[in-house]
Amino acid sequence: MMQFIHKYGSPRYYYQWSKGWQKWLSIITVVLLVIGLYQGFFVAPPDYQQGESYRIIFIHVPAAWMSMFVYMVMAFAGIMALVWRIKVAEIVVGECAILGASFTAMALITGMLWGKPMWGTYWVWDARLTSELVLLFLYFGVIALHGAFDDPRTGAKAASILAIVGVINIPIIKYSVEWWNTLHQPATVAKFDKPSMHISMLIPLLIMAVAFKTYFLSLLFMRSRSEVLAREKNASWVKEILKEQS
Amino acid sequence: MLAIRRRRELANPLVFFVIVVSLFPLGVSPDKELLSQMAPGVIWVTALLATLMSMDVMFRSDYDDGSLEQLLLLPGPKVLLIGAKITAHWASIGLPLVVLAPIMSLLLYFPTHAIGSLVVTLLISTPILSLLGSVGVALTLSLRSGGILSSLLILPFYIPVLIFSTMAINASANSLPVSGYYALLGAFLIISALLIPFAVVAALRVSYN
Amino acid sequence: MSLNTSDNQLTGVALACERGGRVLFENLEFSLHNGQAMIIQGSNGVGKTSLLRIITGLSQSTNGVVSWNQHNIESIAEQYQHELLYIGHLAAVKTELTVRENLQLLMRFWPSDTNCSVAELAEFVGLRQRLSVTCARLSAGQQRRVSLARLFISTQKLWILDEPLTALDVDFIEVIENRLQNHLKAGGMVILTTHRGINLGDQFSFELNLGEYKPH
Repeated sequence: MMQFIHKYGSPRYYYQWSKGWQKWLSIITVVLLVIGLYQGFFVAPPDYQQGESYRIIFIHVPAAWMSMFVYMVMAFAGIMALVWRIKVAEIVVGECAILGASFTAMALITGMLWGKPMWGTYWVWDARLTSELVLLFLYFGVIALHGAFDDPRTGAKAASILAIVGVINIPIIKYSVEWWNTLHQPATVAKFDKPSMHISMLIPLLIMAVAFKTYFLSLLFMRSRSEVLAREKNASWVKEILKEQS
Repeated sequence: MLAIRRRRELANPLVFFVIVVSLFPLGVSPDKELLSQMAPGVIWVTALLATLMSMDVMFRSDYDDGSLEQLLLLPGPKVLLIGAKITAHWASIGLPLVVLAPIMSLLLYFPTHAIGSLVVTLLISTPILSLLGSVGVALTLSLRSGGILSSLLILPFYIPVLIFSTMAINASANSLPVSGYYALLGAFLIISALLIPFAVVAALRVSYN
Repeated sequence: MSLNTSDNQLTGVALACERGGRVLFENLEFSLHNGQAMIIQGSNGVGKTSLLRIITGLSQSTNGVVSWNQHNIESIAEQYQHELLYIGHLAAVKTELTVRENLQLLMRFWPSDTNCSVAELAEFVGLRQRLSVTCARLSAGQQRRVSLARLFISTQKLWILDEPLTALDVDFIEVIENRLQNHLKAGGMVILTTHRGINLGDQFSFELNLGEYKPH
């Protein structure tokens, strides 16, 4: 088991095996995005209450799901980086922080755009938006800490610890924000009821969710591969690759 | 147990607390109604900031003079030593805040029957603030501008403490039951006290790498 | 001072250290036995302090393993720390406290020879007259003496000293050299860095030139 992890986590092997994955995931992402967006924006019926404007959820909801998912991936990579000292995992932590922050920002912006027609203002201190905002702060912390060290490996280790502490705290933060919200906000805000969603809306939503996942993974592979090359620029295998290409 | 301690500059965050709380009536309005409503939030946010300001003292001088690396080399469980350091920090900052807060709450026309809950929430929560803050300080110890960065890292983690505490105080001001909030804060304190010293030791090791 | 003189061995195998993307040294090997001293040499920035910190276990090497009696020091950290005395280039002296308080702290925290009183210890390092002076008012050399006081009560076998002679006057350098010689005679081990050379008498010592392990 450990040998397996170390073999596939060594920069050189990682660079080799991730190449194929990156290619196929990129293709799948494009296909799913095309289908999902078409279904979501042209095939799914308009909502009986919100009309056409609800369609932004096909981007908003998958982005919000991703914002949590990426944090989990980041914390898991952090554990691998700290416990098994895998160089590639250190790189993944840094890349996850940036990608996760982007997804979170996307979820927030689309949420605000959606809020304008729904609630009449761009911002409402709604439990989900607030948690998402806090999550963005957490990502900012990881990115800032990661970048603050001269030595990228030390930075990655520090960021890993923060990510792990964060992942334990996130449920508590989410819970506290939800509770705060129920007490402070009477039920004047119309909540969008997920379970009652029609199947014709649900399918494009799920397709988009999968597309976002593959999109994230292919981006992660792409970015971490180039980072691996940059970090290992003095290793002989990298020099060979560079020689072949030039 | 841990006799390595410094008695300097510890009063500054407390003075900061007093001054900032007094600024609110000047900045917002001296209106009795408004102030008493804002009081829990004002006192709590200011207490958070005062604690953050004081966090740097926890390890900084020990890091600069080399005692911290000696501490990491002491035979014996480091987690207990770190725990003792955090406790010492709390005793020098958190505890005085618990004493000061009721006095300051009077300046904000805070209802006297709810002062008890203010004290209880501060008593349970200020150790959590010291614990969480120590992670941030330990992570940024080797950086030049560590102080601001560590506040940035830690403030989001303070949110649950802020929410539960101010909700408890508000509930008490409205004569609603509060024991549930205390239990939650207490649980948070126990979890933090059990886990965070380990994170701090790991963070210190990274800082020394 | 009685040390348990059972055979001990400290080894470093294939050690490498990388800082900020630059390899300081690699493929470094050493082996140290009872009664031996290793003197690490090299110009500034070559990684002497980094190497010492790796040997203490404070930092992790990028590659390679340090072993104490054939066990990786990370897996026996607790036991290893009982045998280890490290004095870095920072004095670890609390400047707000007096000499007496600082010495008391040293005696309280470290495994030490309990027969020695604070006054005797101060005598060893020539600070008897200054016991109740706060350390902030001492000179750099005197602060250094306070931190080196640990050598006189130490029961640890392995001493790792980073530039121990800095800021000391000639007389006290001799005191320290004598102390090191006695430690080696008793079967102790010493690793140190120094810019100015050190006289260890007829005790066995060898030099490790870090510059030789720098990659080209």
